[in-house]
Amino acid sequence: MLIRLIQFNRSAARWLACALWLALVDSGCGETTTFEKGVAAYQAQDFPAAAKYFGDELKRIASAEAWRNLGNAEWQGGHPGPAVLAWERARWINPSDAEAAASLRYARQSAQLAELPLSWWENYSIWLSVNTWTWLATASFWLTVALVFVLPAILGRRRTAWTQSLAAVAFGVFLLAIAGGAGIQTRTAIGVILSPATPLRQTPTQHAQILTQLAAGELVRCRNIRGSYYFLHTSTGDWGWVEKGQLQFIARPQ
Amino acid sequence: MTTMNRHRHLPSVAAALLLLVGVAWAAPDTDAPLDPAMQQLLKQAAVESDVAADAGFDPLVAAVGEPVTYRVVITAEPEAVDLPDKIHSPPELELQKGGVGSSMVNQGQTSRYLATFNYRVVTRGTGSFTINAFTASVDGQFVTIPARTLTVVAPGSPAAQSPATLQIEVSEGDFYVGQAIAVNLVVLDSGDSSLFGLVEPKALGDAFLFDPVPGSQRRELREDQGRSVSALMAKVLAIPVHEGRLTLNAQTFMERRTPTDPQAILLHGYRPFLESAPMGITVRHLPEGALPGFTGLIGRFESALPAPATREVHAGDPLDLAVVVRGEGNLGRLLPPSLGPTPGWRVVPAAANGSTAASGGQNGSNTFHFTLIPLTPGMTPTPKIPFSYFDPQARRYVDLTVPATTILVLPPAGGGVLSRDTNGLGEMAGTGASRPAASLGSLARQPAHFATSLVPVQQRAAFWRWQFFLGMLLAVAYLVSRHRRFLAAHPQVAILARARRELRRQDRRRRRAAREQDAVAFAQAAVASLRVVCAPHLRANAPALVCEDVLRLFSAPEREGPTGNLVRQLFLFADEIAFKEKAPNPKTLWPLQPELEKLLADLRRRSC
Repeated sequence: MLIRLIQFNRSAARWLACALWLALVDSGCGETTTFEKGVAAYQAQDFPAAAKYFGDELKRIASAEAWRNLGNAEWQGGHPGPAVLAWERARWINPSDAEAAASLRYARQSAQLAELPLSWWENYSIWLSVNTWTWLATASFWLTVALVFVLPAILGRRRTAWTQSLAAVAFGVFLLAIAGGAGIQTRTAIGVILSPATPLRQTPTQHAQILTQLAAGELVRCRNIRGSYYFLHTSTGDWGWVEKGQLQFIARPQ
Repeated sequence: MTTMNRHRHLPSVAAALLLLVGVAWAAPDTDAPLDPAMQQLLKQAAVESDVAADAGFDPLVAAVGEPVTYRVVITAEPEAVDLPDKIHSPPELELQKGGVGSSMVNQGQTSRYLATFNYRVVTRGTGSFTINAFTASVDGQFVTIPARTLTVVAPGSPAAQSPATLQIEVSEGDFYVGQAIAVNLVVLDSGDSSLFGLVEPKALGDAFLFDPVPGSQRRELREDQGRSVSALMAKVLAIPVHEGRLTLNAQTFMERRTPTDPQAILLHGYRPFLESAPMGITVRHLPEGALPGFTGLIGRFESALPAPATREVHAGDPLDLAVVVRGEGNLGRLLPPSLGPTPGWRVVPAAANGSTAASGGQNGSNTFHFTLIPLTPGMTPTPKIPFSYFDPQARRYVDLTVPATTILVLPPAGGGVLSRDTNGLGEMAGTGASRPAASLGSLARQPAHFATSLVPVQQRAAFWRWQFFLGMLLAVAYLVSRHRRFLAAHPQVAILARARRELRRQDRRRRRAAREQDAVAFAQAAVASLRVVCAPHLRANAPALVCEDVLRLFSAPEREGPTGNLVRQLFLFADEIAFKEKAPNPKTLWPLQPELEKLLADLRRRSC
């Protein structure tokens, strides 16, 4: 009986392995992905092709690594604006991406770009990835509600010391996560100047006086929108209007 | 995207509501007196609302073909003024729209706007020509522009006057992108020495950045058509931002002696608004072959020499190295160069805003400061700083590398060993990261951190829908739970509710039986109704009740009276159906129906 059972299990394992292999073959396993093609093109110093492959990869599925590689390819291709945008997006998805951070430092030093001043809650929000704060706030909020409200009022359970302590801890986590979420919310207004020598205008019109010119890759904070212009606050403290096409937000793909 | 955008504003809207509530709560009493300083400010800022208008030709007497300007002046903001698209004029005068100027005029403690609309006038014949009075709208209020007459005389007539004109003067030579070009704005006096000064002179052009040169206004004599005339000049630096044939314009208000001619514009505070003819200049890109350390400096400069703050410094202590650049060019926009690898030193890049221009114009000096931190003791030369500029006259780049200067580096003040990291720029710049910023980050081999969207989940509508749904679910669960607890505390409510439900069912059954003349079903439904309506009072199960149980609910007179008889007859009829082989006569049943309905209604009223 035992031998039959073992034989059956061996047979089932074989069938399972075959099915898995077929599934992998069917899903394209073994083929070169666009990501790998991008890496190969980059290593062959074909930077426009590498940028295209990484762009295609990002249309398929976004990842911090694809954004980082796209940034490198754009930088090597002589496009500092899109490069900084891509690295910032890599850090948006994965704030602990040291390579993207290094690239950003290098680019800012090379292009003489100033860092955009961040508020304390924005610096705090960089500690965790974008959605982690929201999910943490959500989970801690509902846990607090469950412990304080659902357990006694709906399920009729008595409040105990440990549920009350847990509720207090959860509420504390909620407050901490709210600050992070606020930082994420305000950071969504940060964008990157794409074109070199982008004119910063006094009013949102084509013939308005040019106050200064913004370098490609400069981080700016959008404060208002009117027509086809964004009202910006630059890292050097200037205020002015820039045409929509010359700016992309880190957190808003266009 | 649109939906997301809409929901993206939800937190903002909530915050705004909170803010409104806060402001409403904290709003001061409107009857409270204002702070005296604020009262004074408000008083000063009051803008006069009465609208006045005037018009005039400049000059009043002109030769045929000479430039003439017709100006309409209204005491309002230009945006508020609605002038006719075409001002009717004699056929000998052709009016072409010109520029619009706006200024503020102080009058006592009030201020008012003064909008000037210029029209270029082309004269085609001699004589006196009048533009009749017409109306303009200012914020819906109509104002009359008075009639004005221009006298046109033959060319060369001594009566002809010359108007003040604004001219742009730019030095000859090649111009390059980024170069500070000195632009002189010149107004020639009309010959009557009435010109006092230029107010708000400015150059205009889409492809330029402009730097004013404070204190540059001066008076000088110029030759104009063989005669010497007084001219006022103001200087502006224009910096072209791209190559090609670019157009420069200029405009200014003119301070002059108040005219006495009634045909002239006599509004208080009026200053003629002058515009120049456009001027084209050709701008080229800088040539290839920039030398190391070129940061866009264009002009002619002397060698930049380093000036260290001290000749002795401890290892690890910062040393301020100032570099002074003197010469003529775009010094006001000087960007310091960046350094490459600097063995033995840590370098904090010079900040662009740390430099100070010694002159508002092109000539002068500018200083940028590097902070150097020596790492090893001994006689150490400071790093060479590659620096260069472009000379537009020689059309070549000139090397201006800052040479090294030797500093005595003493051992660290507190002892210890210093890191030999020569690339700690990121750390020094305050980014807090320890990784050197000397190269790009490496390429990733495989994707590892995925994201479905860059848009944070808190800005997605689905997230808030789910939170709302969860909240509603909890609210419903709470209400249900509360209701269940209430029923548990008051079981009679549930029993009565169940009885009412069963009674309604039996009512429907009884009426259907009556309609179909089904005596058996009618009797069974009637008895069931009596049992159901009585069961809650007896705390018993309805089907278990017998006739005597039901009768116990009635008073003694009722039991002995028609009510008791009715109940007994119904139970007897039902028992006969249940236990006798022969069915009872239905004719005895139907007459009882009206009384039965009354009884049930009465019992329902008592019970439920």
